[in-house]
Amino acid sequence: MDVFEALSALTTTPGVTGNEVAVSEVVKGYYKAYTDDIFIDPMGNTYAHIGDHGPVLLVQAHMDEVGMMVTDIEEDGLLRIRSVAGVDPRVLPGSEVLVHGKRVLNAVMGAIPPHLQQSGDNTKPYSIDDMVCDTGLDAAEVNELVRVGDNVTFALLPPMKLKNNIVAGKTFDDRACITVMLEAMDILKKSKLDCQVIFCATVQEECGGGARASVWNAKPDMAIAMDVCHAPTPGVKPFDAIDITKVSITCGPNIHPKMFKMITEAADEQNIPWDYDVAPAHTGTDAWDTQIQMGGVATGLISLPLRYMHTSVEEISLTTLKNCAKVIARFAQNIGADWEEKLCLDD
Amino acid sequence: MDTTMIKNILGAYGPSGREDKAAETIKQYVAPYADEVYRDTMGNLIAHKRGTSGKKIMLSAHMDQIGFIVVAIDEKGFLRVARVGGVNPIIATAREVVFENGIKGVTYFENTAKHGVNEATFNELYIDIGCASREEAEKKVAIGDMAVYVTNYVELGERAACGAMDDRICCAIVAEAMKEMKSEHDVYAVFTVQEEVGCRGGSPAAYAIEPDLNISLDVTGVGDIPECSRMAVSLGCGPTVKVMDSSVIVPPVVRAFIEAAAEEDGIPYQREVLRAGGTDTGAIQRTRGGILSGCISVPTRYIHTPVETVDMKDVDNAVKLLCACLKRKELPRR
Repeated sequence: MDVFEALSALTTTPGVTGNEVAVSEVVKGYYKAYTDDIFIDPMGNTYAHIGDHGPVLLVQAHMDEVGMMVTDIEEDGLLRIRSVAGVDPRVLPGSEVLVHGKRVLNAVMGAIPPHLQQSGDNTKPYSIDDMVCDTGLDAAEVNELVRVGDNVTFALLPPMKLKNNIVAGKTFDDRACITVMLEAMDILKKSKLDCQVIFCATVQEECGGGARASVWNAKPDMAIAMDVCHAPTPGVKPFDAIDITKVSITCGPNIHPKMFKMITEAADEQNIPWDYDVAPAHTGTDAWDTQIQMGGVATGLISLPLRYMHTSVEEISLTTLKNCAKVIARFAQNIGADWEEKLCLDD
Repeated sequence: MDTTMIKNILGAYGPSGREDKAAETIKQYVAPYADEVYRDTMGNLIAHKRGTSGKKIMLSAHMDQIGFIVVAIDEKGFLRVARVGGVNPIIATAREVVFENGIKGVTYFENTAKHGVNEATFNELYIDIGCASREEAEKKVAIGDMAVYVTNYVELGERAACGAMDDRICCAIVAEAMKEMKSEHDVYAVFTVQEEVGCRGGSPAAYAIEPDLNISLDVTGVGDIPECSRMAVSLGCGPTVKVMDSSVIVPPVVRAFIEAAAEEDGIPYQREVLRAGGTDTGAIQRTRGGILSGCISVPTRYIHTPVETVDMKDVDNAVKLLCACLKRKELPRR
C-alpha cells in the first residue's frame, strides 16, 4: 500500500467531530481491499473484521478531526464560528478554510487589524468570538448557501513532503493512525491468524464519544488504541515528548501490563525503535473509555509522535508510521492458543 | 395546550433525586394515552404507547429541577446548604424556597459585614425557615432534605416566566404530544431523573428500552437579550433543532429527519448551537452500541433562575414538531 497516497486521501476529506460521514466512506473504500465484513454503528464508528477464529483484538484509531461550526450569520454576510472539539483559536487568524454549506465555499479567517486595535489589545491573541469567517459573498448569497450548524474546516490541502521521510499536513491527528490500521491490514492480508482483528475507525474521540460503542459492538478480548502523541520541539519538556523516529508505547494505569509487554515484544522482535510513554492517569485517548467498558477490556496504547498538534501543519515520520503498523501486525500474528495465560495477571 | 396542565406540571416539587411528586403529577396526564406507565429503578417515569411497525422511538424530557440540599443545621436554626445542579449563589440569594413537606424558607448569605451579595459564594448561603434553634428546625427539616425555588408563574402576554421551565415545560410538551400524536411506532415517553446533576437518568432508560431513535426535549439559551454571548436563537421564532451542545453533536441524519418533519408541516424552527450546557441527548447517544439521538429545544431566557422565560408559541410549535416527527414512517438510519 502507498501510505502517502492513503494519508493524502484521508486528510483531504472533511470529518469534523460529530459529522464523520464523508471520511467514513473513504475508510470503507480502503477496508474493501481486505475484507467484505464491514459495519457502521449508529454513532458512525466504522469497522472491518478479519480472521475467522480465536480471540477478538479491537484496534481503534479515531477519524474525527478538530474543526469549527457556524454559529451565526451577520447582517453583512460574515460568519461567526465556534470551535468543535478543540481548535486552538490562536492558529486561526489568517487561515484558509472551507465552509461546508449547501456547496463547499472557500473562506478566510479574519479579525480586526492590529492598527485599529486599542493599545494593549494588539499584544493579546484574538478570541474566537471576535473573529469572522469571510466567504466574500454578500448576505443574501450567504443565507442561501450557509446555515447555522454547518461545519468549517481548514482548507483541504494535501500533505507536504519534507526531508527525512517527514511529512506535514492537516488532520494527521488521527488520520495518520487510520493509515497505520490500513497498512497493518495490508501486512496481515497474507497471514494465517489465530485471532480475529476488528479495526475500528472511531468517531467523536476529540469530545469523548465513540470508543464506548465500539467496545459494545466488537466485544473484544483485548484492545489496542492508536493515537498521536507529542514529538519534541523547542520548549517541550523531554518527558512530555517521544522522538519522532520512535514508536511510543504507553504504560500506566490505563494500560494492561501484559498488553504493554506483548506490544513491546512485537516491536523488539522486529528491531523497531520505540520508547516508553508513561501516563500516570488519563491518556486522553480512546484507551481511557475502552478499558472500563462492559466487564473491562485488556487495553494497550500505541502512539505516533507528532509535532504542532491541532494545526494545519502537523508533522510525522512516514517511517515511524510504517513501524507502528508492523508492531500492530506482529502483535496480531503473535496471538496464539495461549493468549489467556499471556494476559493473566495472576502469575 | 391546557394552561392548568402546564401550571400543575411546573408547580410540582422535584429536585434531582427527589422526583416522586413530579412523577405523580405527570403520570396523571400521560396515563390516559399510554398502554403502560411505570417507573424504573432510577425513578424515570416511562409511558409506553404501543405501535405496529416494530420500531421504537424514545422521547425524553427531564423532570428534575435544580435546588438546594441541607448539609447542616446550626445552633440558631439556620440551614447550611449545598447546591443540587447548576445553582448560582448570587441568584440564589434572597429567594423564597420550599421543601417537599411544604416547609418554606428564605435564603441569604453570611459575611455581610465583609462583602456584598455580588461576591457571595455557596459556602456562605443559608436558608432561614424562621426557627430560633437547632431543636426547633430539626422538627421541620432534616439533613439531606432538599428545597427548590417557590414556583411563581408569571404571565407576560404570550410569554411566561417560571423557575421550573427547565425542563418541566418540555415534560408538558411530551405529555401533550402523547395525547395528540399518531404514530405507527412504539413510543416511549421517558420523564428522566437527575439530568441536572450530570445527565444520569436518560442513559439507563435508553439501555432498557433500546430505541431505534431518541428525541430529547430540553430548554436552550438565546441570543436575543441585551449584550449576551452570540447565539442565533430568538424567543418566538420556533423550537430549535439542536446541532450541538457540550454533551452531544447530533448526527446529521437525525437533524435532517427532524427538519424534514418541520418543513413538511410548515412548522417554524431554528437551528441551535449551544455553547455551554449539556442535555440527556449525549448520554443517551452513547448508550449500548450507540443510539441515534437528537434534540428539540425550547428557546429560554434566564435559564437556572426563578424567572426562566419562554414563548408559548414556541411551546405549541414544539408539540406540533414532535407530533410531525412521530407520524413519519421512515426513521433515520446510518
